[in-house]
Amino acid sequence: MNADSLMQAMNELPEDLIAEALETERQRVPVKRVLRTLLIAAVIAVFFSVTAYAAGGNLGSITSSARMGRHWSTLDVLPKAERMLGLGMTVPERFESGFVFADMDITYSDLRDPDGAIVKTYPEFYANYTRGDQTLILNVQAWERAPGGAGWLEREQDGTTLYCHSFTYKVVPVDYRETEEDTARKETGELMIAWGGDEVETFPMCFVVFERGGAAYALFSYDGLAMDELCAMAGEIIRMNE
Amino acid sequence: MEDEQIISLFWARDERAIEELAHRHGGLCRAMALRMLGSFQDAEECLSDALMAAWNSIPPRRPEKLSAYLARLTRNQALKRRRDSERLKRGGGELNLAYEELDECLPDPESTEQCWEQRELSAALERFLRGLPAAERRLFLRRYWGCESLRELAAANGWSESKVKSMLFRTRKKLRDYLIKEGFACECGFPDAGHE
Repeated sequence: MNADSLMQAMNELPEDLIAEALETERQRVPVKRVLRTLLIAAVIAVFFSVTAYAAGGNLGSITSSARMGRHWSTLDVLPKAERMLGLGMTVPERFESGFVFADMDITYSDLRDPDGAIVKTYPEFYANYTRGDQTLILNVQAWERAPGGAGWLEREQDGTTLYCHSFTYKVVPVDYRETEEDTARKETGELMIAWGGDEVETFPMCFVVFERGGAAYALFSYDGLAMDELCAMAGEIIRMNE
Repeated sequence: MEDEQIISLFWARDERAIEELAHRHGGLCRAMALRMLGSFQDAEECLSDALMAAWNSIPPRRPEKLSAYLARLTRNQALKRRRDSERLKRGGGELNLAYEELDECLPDPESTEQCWEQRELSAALERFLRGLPAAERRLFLRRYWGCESLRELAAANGWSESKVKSMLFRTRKKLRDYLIKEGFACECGFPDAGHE
């Protein structure tokens, strides 16, 4: 018997064992909020990384997926998250607007080329804030370059450039077929599609991105928050960094 | 389209089944074949062969887990390609091929025994894996069934690569001991089972 025999024998394993490994690879996360965060992580990954990878401009063919690494419900362990991320960061306990820290995660994102091969895997930090029924999300990862393309606008806040983007975020099941209207709206930056939801859902999404100390901060909400409010909260983080 | 609907298309001999299966589970299988073979073209061909094998085997088969079924077919194709490529490296002359073709005509007294041993080995492997803690089992399967890299596994679990390496080492050692206990002549098992 040799390693070939073992590799071959493994192919005869029952489907439930194989499915367990495959499902872990897909990382289907049952909790809706977590799933939504992961789908958003996938979108952010494309925003930040696609320009670096797809120099030819073939943005539509780059995909990404994200999976949960660690989850914490206290800011006390922020140093641990910073070690995992490899970055120092500023994470407020509360914003003047009334949003209060709820929990935080480290996720891992894979950026895949059109053949499905992973070209990059990297960690990201997420902190969730709540104000009544509304949720605000703060994402931090290593800064590579300013996001750009259709739909992005620049603003100044406390001496720092903010990159802002408003669009419709559409979560769809994996077997969803993109319509012609979807494609047209994606090209103008009005729509972003994330595959992996249980059903088709759309959200108005606002993004504000800026750089501080080598870290890319992204503040966003899918609860209809106004861009001005997001920019003001970005200003708070910028001032805390001074 | 849901798995059950795709299987119904296969049973109705509707060729859309192949397209739907590729759309639903092809990405995962293509990525696995790519990890195993390191070539986009080979991975694509493996997936095509696996889809054809699914067409030829459903019916009569009715897979319970369609993703696992297609993944298994893809992995079989990838292993076959690897064996072919190893054979070519050793020398792929016509003499080799002629021997292989004639070999198929001979009743091989060992083949039944080998086939039986392979089934026994697979059953032992299943018992071993079911006895492992879930996290350890998943890690082992993702590495040796799905051929994911140490880097991918470390990132997926939020662990360091050295932790993944050491966990896999311990599992391989357990497997080696288990197979010896079960009476398999474990001359090597995984090549580096005895060294961390």
